[in-house]
Formats: sequence, structure tokens, C-alpha cells
Amino acid sequence: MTGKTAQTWRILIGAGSFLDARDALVLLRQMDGPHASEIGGVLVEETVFAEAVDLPGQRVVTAAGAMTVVPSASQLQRQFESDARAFREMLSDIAGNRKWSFERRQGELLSHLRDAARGWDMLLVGHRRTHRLPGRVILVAPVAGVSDKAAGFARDLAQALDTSVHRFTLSATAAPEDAGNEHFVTQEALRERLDRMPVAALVLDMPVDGQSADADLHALIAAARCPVFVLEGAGRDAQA
Amino acid sequence: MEQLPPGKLRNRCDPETLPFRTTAEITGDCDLIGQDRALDAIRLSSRLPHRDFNLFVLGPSGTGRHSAVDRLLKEQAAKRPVPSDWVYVNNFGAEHKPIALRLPAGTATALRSEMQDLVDDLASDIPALFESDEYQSQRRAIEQELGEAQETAMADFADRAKAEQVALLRTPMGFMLAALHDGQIVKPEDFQKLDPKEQAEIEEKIDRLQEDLAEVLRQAPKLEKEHRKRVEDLNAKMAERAVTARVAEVKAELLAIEPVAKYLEAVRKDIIAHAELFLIATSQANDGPFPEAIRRFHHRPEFDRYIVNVMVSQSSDADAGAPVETEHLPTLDKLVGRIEHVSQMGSLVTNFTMIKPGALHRANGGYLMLDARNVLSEPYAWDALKRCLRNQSIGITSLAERLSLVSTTSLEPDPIPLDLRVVLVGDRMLHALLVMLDPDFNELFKIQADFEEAVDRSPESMSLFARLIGSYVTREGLRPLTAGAVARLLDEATRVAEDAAKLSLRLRAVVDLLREAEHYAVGRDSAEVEAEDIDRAISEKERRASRIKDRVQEAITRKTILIDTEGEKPGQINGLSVVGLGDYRFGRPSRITARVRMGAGKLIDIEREVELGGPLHSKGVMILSGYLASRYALDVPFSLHASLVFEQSYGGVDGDSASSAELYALLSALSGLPIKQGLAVTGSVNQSGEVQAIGGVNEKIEGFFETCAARGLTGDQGVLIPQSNIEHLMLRDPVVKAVEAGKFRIIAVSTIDEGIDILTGTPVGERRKDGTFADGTVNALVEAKLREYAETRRAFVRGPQSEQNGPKP
Repeated sequence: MTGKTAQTWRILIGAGSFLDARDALVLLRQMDGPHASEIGGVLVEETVFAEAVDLPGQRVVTAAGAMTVVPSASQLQRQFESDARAFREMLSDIAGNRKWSFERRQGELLSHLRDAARGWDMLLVGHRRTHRLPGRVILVAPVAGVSDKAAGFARDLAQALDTSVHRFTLSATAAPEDAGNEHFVTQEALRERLDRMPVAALVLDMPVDGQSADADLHALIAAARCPVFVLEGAGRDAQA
Repeated sequence: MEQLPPGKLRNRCDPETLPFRTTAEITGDCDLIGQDRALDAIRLSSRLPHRDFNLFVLGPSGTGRHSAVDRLLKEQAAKRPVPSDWVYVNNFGAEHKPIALRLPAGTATALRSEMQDLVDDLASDIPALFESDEYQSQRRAIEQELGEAQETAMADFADRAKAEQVALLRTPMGFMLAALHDGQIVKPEDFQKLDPKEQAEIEEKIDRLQEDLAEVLRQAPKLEKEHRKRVEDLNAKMAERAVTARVAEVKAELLAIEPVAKYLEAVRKDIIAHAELFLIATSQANDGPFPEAIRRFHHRPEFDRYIVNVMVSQSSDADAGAPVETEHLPTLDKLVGRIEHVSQMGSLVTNFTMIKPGALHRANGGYLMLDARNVLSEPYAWDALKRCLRNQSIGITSLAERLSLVSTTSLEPDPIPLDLRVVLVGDRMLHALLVMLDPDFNELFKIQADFEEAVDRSPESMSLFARLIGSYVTREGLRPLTAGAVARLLDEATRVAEDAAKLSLRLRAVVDLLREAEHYAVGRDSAEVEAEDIDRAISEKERRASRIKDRVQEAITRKTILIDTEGEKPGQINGLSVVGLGDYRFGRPSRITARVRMGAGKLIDIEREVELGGPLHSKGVMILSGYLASRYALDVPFSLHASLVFEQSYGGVDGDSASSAELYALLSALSGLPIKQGLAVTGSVNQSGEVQAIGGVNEKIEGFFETCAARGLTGDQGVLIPQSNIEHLMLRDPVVKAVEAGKFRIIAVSTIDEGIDILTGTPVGERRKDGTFADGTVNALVEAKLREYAETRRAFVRGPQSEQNGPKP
């Protein structure tokens, strides 16, 4: 039997809405808390919404597949307020006696999250799931090998979710594959695979820095369509 | 009139007539005599196969009813087949209606054990199966397939959107789509700058893609539903494999029983449908001191649904016979069983495992013996018993439910068919009341076994009685009785019977005496119980009970209670009454006085006037009035005013045994002739002047004898008893000896005339042809007095008229 790792983390959860944050927070709760020594929350009110709502013919498609009218700017603002309250309450509930913090920002999501994640061990980017079907924990790691703490975290996460860990490696050169390990030579190939498989959570154990860091991370999150744990280079401080 | 010789005062058994020296010589067992009629009835009821031939055993207590019924029922039960076992099992389709299963004798506990083993085994097998790689890979394949279907749909949509330069935005309310231009979202002001055609194209594709996205998202719940169903099917398939295999391992002899096979099939289906119970149980089983291998999962409450609740389990021995049950506390619950409840979160809940059997379940197929009084005194027990007998099934309904006292979950268990012979044991009064007041009783209890209280005293019956005593002594391991002791016991049985020609069949009183006598024999280190031990037991028993009698006699001796035992007095006589204290009775004299004067034919019973006289006593007094009115001075109005009283009686009087004494007192008062106070009188009288038998004659005689003996016997003292009571005499030795010595007399009379003759010492006188009595006789004096009253009354009535009319000139 595999026991839980003793590693604890300072985790920052970031999301553009409570809908996205909620699934990430649920994951944390399922992991039974001890993994986080401190948790923080960031709600980023993306300005792009305000622009999109004024476009003609716009409608909102709910998670259940229903279409509703777009909210007005004021309604959107009230929704953000409501989301912030819900995010904060759930965060505080999960934190219990542990240290926790919450802040609100406005602007582009990933840019703000990476900025806010400085000094934190891990960034958890919230993303609503479009279905409740079980999926695996995908650990994206360098070919050189996954770090112990990332492997342990992914294993604990999979155990909490009653699923298994599947490892993706990425490098320009070919690498061996097995039942629990897939290798990709390009980001596009990896994303394409990720795009079409059910994923419960994504754990990134590889640097997401450089010029295209936000775009790559955004693309990965969009393909995974699930909460994403960023272990390496989450914050601006980690940039080379 | 007959002065009785000593030989008529008691019946003595001569030990020489008994065919043994001690009871040790008696062989053979005997526990009941003289009850052939009752025993035949019991046998008939126990053998008749038809319904409703239940039995009511009636008779006084202490006659061996219970032991006789028990013995005969057990004899018959041994010849009957062993009845079925009964169990209650869960009704998986309707849990509030547990199912009753009839099983061959001896298999109920086997089925219970089998089900416990089955649950324990499956609690290991099912989790193991679900942890297997085979199951895990199949389940993941389903998850993968359906998950990928949804993800692929989303990916395809994302690809289409991207190809059409449309971005998918996640807003707090849901998804939104926005047109892109050079990778940036087209802002409203830029949109307005586009030509109408481009705007229309963008609007069209946004609209179309929104519909597509909605359709993709609407698929998710359908896929999730399909996922659940396919995983459930997989679970059921996996569980079915384990459960079916394990059920097939159930012992063949159990599977061959049709209801069991049917039940096991239902169990199989239910376990498959509830396989998660076994997974949860195992996941929680790691806590605790015992290793999993020896853990008994069937004790866990979630597996209660598979318990076999054994209501009745018979012996598997084919010769064991049918059950004979006795329920000493036949409450409703103990009779028909009960449904228990436990408190959970403040509510009372129950299930089929809390159904408890009653006496009817245990006795089903055999016999149930109950005390009638106990059944009738328990609320609703009699009603429930009748209902079960009438319906021939046992239905359990709690008292609280019936009275609607509590509102809680309850059960409707299958009624269990009832094939039972009920034997009620009670007294005659109870039987009479049931016959009279309960119309169901005669329908359901068609046979009565009436136990005799006494048997004729004959050489044969005495021999049997002696054998019965001998059997008892042997059975109880007591010291043997000599023939003298047995003879003494026989005489005592006759005295208890209150009839010199009978032997009491109240055996309990006899054996109680016997055991006490044996104790005295042990005390004096005798190997045998002798007549003197019996005598001592009798006298000690009387002594223990006679405190009140002694106080009454003391009060008489000290003249606190006024009783004359010498001299003569008119209008005063010694009557005799019996005081009963439980099973002890004693006689005591009471002074009865009568006073007369002219009146309007009214006889006042002072006891009745003050409501101290019972109805029988009042009846006796009214008979006196009829006697006087019809015997004397028939040609004139009955113009007597008389009063009668039991002097110093404060506790009430009933019975008519003093009516002859009261009549003697009246005749004495009317005639003016004094009554000899050395005599006491008992006997009832009818309107013709015949003296009739009464009860307690021995105690009454002995009561007056003791009063006289305390003051010194004169030889003139004695008791007048009815002629018809002679054969009831079984007097104690001191009385008999006094009569033998001429110091006391027992005189039997058959008419009032005989009695008044003795009491006054004056001839009573016969009515002559001219209609008169001879001068100086009692009757002449009485008639003369009554005529005088009539004349006086007539003169009294005429007097004022004569004065009004005045004398004729």
C-alpha cells in the first residue's frame, strides 16, 4: 500500500470565476488538507468579458448546455462580487486552522496568476470541468525524470481521486514509452492528446517560463479542461 | 331424632385393612385417582385431529390438574410428528412485510448458520473481485471510452471554433464565444466598423457555434448516465459471478427445500444489487483488534437484511415428538410474540430481525397449556388467543399499535399457520362465566375435562389412594409411611372432603400434610412416618392457623361474647356459624334471640335491616314467616310482630344454616317455653318444617364443643344437626371421646318438631282431628299465642268503631 507523502505545500489557487475555482478547491478538499501548509486564492476579473458582452448576438452557454442572454456590465460586476464571496468562503472553509489569504485582481488571468504566484510552492489554476466522468491525473514531466515531490504529489492526488497517474514527457528526441508513460516530441502533439482524453487534474512538473510561457500554459489548460497544478516556474521569480 | 353413637361421628380407616406395613412395599406408579372422566376428556382432546377441540380443564386447585394434563399431553405428543421449523426472512421487495418460511424440523438453525457463512465469505470475495485487475481495467475502459467521447466532442468543437476564428471564453455564468481577428477578440467598436456582410457572417457563425457548443455540453449528462449504468452493469456482473458461485456452495439439503431455494435466489439478486455494502464493510473493517480473516461480518448491522430470524427450531430427531409448552405469564407479547423496536436518532425503528416468537410459535404443532385466569387477566391476551385459534394462524400485533399509542414504523409479518391444541386450566366459576358471557368460547373450546373434588370412600379407592401416597413418597424420596400413617392420611382426606363417605381429591393438601409429617419423623429420627407424625402435622397446622379461633373462644370463655352453655332461656338459642380464613375454617357459637308481640304479621330480621345479613340469610328468615303463617292459627290473620338477631355479630351473616335455630328461638318466644342453653343448633329449614343439610357441620360441632369444654362438660351439652348431615361427620378425636364418655351429645333431627321437643323438653304436639293441639304442647302454646295476638288485634281494630256507634239502647 502506498502511503501519502509527508511533503506540504504553499498553494495558490487562481481562477477567473468561482465556477473555475470551485473544481480546483474540491480537489484540494479531496486531498484531505495536509498537503497544503498555506493556501491562497486569487480571483482575476478578466476584462475581456466586458468587451465580449457588448458584441451583438451574444449568448451565454451554461455548463448544462442551456443558452441564456449575456449579462450586462453591472450584472457581470455583481457576479464577480458574488464569485469572490463564494471563493473566499470556500477557501476559508478548506483552510480551517491553516494560514490562508485571498485577493482580487483585474486583467489577464494567467499573467496575474503568475505574478501572484511568486513565493508560492505551487499554483493551482482553476478550470471548470464540462462533465463528471472520471479521468486520470496527468503528470507532465521532463524526459530527464519526474521530481520526487511531483511524483509523490501526483500519486497522492490520484489516490484521493481513486484514479491512476499517467505521465506525459516532452522533448524533441524520442524516449521510451510504457503503459503509464507517453512521450511527445512537440507541444502540439501533447496538447492534441490531452485535448481528447478525460483528465481529472493536470500536474505540470516542468518549467513554464520563457517568452511564450503564458501562451503555452493557456493552451495546455484549454486542452486539459481541468484544474492544473503548476509546480515549476509558476511565478515570475522562477523565470530564468 | 337420633342421638348419634360415637361410631357415627367419624369414619376410621383400620390400618389392618391396608395390604402393606409401610409404603415402601407399594410397587407401581400412581399419581391420580378417581378422575377417569377428566382424563378421558384430556386424551380425547389431545388425540382429535380436528380444529377447535381445544380443552378447558376445570376443577378446584390442588387436584392434580396441571400434572395430569402435562403427563397426558406429553404421552400423546411423543406419538406425534415433529412439527416444522419457522423462520422470518427479509422481504427484499417490501421490507415491512417479512416472509415466513416453513422448514423441515431442525433445519432453521442450519439455514441461519449457512447465511452467516455466506455473508462472511462474500464480504471477502466481493471486495477481492472488485480490487482485481480484471475489474479495474474493465471499469477504466468504460471510463476511458465515455470520457474520451465527451472530450473528443469538446476538442472537435474547439478545433472548429479555432478554424473559424472564434474564441471560447469561460465567464462566471458560462461559456461565451467571441470572434477573433489576428488572434485578438474583436471589440464592439471594431465590429461596428466591419461591413454588414462580415458582421452577418460573424453573427451567423457565432450563433451556429453556440448551438454546437450547447449540443456538446448537453451530451455530457447523457454520457455520465451511460457511464453509471455501464459501471453498475459491470459491478453487477462481477458481483453476480462471486455471489452465484457462493450460493451454489450452499448445502445441497438446504437447496433442495423449495422455500429455501426461492429465498436464496432472492438473496442472490439482492446481494448483486447491493454489492457496495460488502465493499463498504470491508473498507471499514481494518479498524479493530481482530485480523480480517477471523472477522465476522455478519454481525455488522448492514448485513441484518440477510439474517435468518429463527422463530422456532425443533429437534432434528424424528422421534422427538411434538412440543408441549406451558406459558406461566401469558401476556399478549409472550403469547403471540412481539415486534421489538430500537431507538435511532430519536425514532423507534424495527425490522424483521426484531420479531420475537411467543408461546404459540413454540407450541405450534403440539400443545400449549395456559392458566385460564392468567390469560383472561392479561390485557388483550384472551382476544389474541381466540383470534389466532379462529384464524388458525399467528399474527403479531403489538398492544401499542393496536391501541394507537405510538406512531412508529412497524411490520406486517406473514402470519404463520397455526396447528395447535390449547389447554386452559381454570376453576369452575371461570368456566361457567366463559360459557355464559363469551360466545366464542364454546366454539373454540369444545371439550371440558372436569376434575372431581372427591371420590367415594371404598376399599378399592382407599387402596388406590394408599398407592398414590406410596408413589408420591417414592417419587419425592421421602421416608416411607406406616400403614397407620396412611390410614390417618386417608381419614384426613375424608375430613377435607367434608363427607364421611368420600375421599378428597385435593391431593395438594394431603401431600403438604405428608411432607410436614415426614419432617417431624426426621426430627425424631424415625425411619418411618407414623400416625403420630400425621396427627402432629394436623394439629400443628391447625395451631398455626387458629389464632383468631383461640381469641374468639377466649372471648366466649371470658364472657366478652355472651354464650350460655347451661340453664334454660325462652327466645334464646345457640346458633353455629363457620368462619373461613383461606383454607382454614373453624366454627363458633352465636347467640340468637327472638322477641315477639302482637303486630301485623311482620317478621323483622335485624341483620337484614342493618344490611349485615346476606341474601341467603334473609331468605331463610322469610321461610320462617311462611312456616309460622301456614302452620298455626290458620283461621285468623297472622298477627305477629317478631324480631330476630344474631347477638354480638358485627361482621355480617350469610347462609341459611341458622334458620332452624332462628325458628326454634321464635317458637320458644311464642310458646314461652325456655330453650336448653347447653345445646347448640345448626340446620336450615323449609316451609314444611323439615331440617335440611348444611355445610361445615364438623367445624360447627367442634366450635361449640370447644366452648363447652372450656367451661367444663356437663353431659347435657350437645349439638342438634340435620339428619342428612350424619354422613358428613368426620369429627376430631376429642369430640368423639367426649361423646364416648357421655359428656357431649350429637343429636340428629329431621324436623323442627323433633328439634323443639329436645330443646324445650316439652312434647311438641300433633294436630288432632278437631284441628287443635293437645294442651301444654309446644304447638298448642304457639298457636294459642298467635290466636291471642289475632284476637287482640281484632279487638284493637274494633274498639274505636264500637265507641263511635255507641251501645244500643
